[in-house]
Amino acid sequence: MGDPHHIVATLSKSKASLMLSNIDLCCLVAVVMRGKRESLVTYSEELLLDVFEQVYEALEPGLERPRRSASYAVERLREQRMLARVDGLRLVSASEYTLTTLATAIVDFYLEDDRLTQKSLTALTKTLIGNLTEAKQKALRAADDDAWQDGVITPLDVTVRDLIDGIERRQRGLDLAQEKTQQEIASLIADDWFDAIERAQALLDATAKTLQELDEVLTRDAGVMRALLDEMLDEADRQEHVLAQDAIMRVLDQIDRITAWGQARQRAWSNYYQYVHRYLRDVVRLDPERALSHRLKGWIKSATQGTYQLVLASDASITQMRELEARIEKPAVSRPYVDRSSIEHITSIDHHLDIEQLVEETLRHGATTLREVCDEVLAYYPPEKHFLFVGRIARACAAATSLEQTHASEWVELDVGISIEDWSFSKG
Amino acid sequence: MLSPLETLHDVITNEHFPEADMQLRRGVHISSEDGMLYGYLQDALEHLEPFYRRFGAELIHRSDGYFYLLPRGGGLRAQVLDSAEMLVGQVMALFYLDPSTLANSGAVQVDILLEWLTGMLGEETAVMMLNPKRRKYRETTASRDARKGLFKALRSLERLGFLSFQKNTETVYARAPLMRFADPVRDFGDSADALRRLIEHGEVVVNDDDEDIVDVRGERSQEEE
Repeated sequence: MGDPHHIVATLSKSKASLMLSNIDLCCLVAVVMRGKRESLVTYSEELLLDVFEQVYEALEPGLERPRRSASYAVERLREQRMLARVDGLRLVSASEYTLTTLATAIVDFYLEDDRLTQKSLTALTKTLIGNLTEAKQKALRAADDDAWQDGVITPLDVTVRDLIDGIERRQRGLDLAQEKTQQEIASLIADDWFDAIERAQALLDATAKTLQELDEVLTRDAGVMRALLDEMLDEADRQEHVLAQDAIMRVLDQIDRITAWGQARQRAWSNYYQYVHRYLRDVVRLDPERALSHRLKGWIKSATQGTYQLVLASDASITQMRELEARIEKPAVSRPYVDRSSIEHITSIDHHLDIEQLVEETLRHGATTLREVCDEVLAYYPPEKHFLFVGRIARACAAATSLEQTHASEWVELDVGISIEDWSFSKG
Repeated sequence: MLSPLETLHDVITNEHFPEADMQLRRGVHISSEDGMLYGYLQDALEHLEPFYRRFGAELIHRSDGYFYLLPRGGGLRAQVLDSAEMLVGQVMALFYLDPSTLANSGAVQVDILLEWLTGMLGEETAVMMLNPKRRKYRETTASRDARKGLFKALRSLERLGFLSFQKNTETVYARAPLMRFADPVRDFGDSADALRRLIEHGEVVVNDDDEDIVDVRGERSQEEE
């Protein structure tokens, strides 16, 4: 199908548009009907002008020169790509025209009752099953690419696909018919109110019955089609034939789509059916004179609205109850377990005592300056504690000894790289 | 398969009870469009009527096909609709009754609703009624104000189950509970008598003061708080 963005951009760039007046549409329909009656494949310019002229004379009786208007209509339809010349342009000969697919599609929309019925659906699905059975037999016998192409892929891509397209087209036709039925029911009730109940009910029932029958046919026959396609797919998988696999998958998708349509429409109609049924029961039957709407409208128009207010409940505070469950024993709050033995410096958590003891021991062994004590004691501690512990060592030394010098001490660098003001002391 | 609702215990332990109970207490109308919840209330009605009576409220089931809880001066708080909600509710009820809405299964475009309101009441009256707190009409912003007031009222009515919005569109679906707005004119007698009966029954209150959803005992409802 192509990239939708690209297609839209191309259409926009080419400024493609469609403008079809009512009289042009009537001319088209008239010429198609003439063609069908006389089994015409192409239309001469003379014939077109005759038919169009008759249309103008019928629809616009006072028109002075209908032939000229008919001639303009031919031009307009050519510009709108509804008519195509087929006589070879620029050749001096009488013009021959044919209708384009666009024109035939538009005319078909207005002329043909192309809705899906149980009869047409059954005929289509039977033909489909026949085609698929034949394709399956060829798939099981296919030994080379040509056999797959001629026996399976082409029939699936052309014949089967066209048949399913036919079902889808008729499904769209039925959608349109359903919409018309809904409008018809609304019009019936609007016009005849109470007297329309029986006819509205009959229309509702008829459509519901049609949809149910169609869904039954689709569900039943789609199952058979899927089974046939699955067998073909198994064979294609076995022979690893990618093109055949793709073709089979495309058809399976189409079948899924037409089956889903049946279910979706039946569901939608069921909702509509219930809505209308309730309306007929609660509104129309209870108000046979159709006075309620008039009274309500009068009530709204008068200044009375505002004088009364509806009362509603307003307590939203109830707590939603949870499902019962066994009481859960909550574990006591605790720190995650850490293997402290792996941390080397954990032994010095209470450094205060250690420092006091180490300082005393160092002094006992004859240290006489703060520098000596620091170098000795700090060797037991990790680097990040050194700066912090120098002060504590100084305090421990001050407590255990007395200072000797009277002048300013010199600054020295310890082994661990910290500079301190050195003291000399003797034991106090 | 659900167990039969033979006792109040069955009703309360049913999986639908919490949802149905909370909605009813919030003032939500549960109608046949709500499917299982409506079916549950139909089955449980016999047990739930006396259950809610103990809370000073009446569980009402209308033949139009919906349930709601009506406070009766007991412990259950009550709220009233403001004038914009009343007006929009009445107009939606009119659309619900209109056969032309049937073709669309009750769907109404908000623009059509607005057009109808302004056409019938005049733009100025419509704007002022849709925005009850507004003291002054401004022509320059009239159109925007009317839409804003209308949407506010519609959303509020949606929360209460009177209508539903089609997802991501400006289409609203009329639902059966809208028929409550037509109550004063449903009996083909005198409307004033009908209104008096509704007041006596506690279905409506007459209140000239136009305040937003307010507890009828004078307290602001939690919804507005």
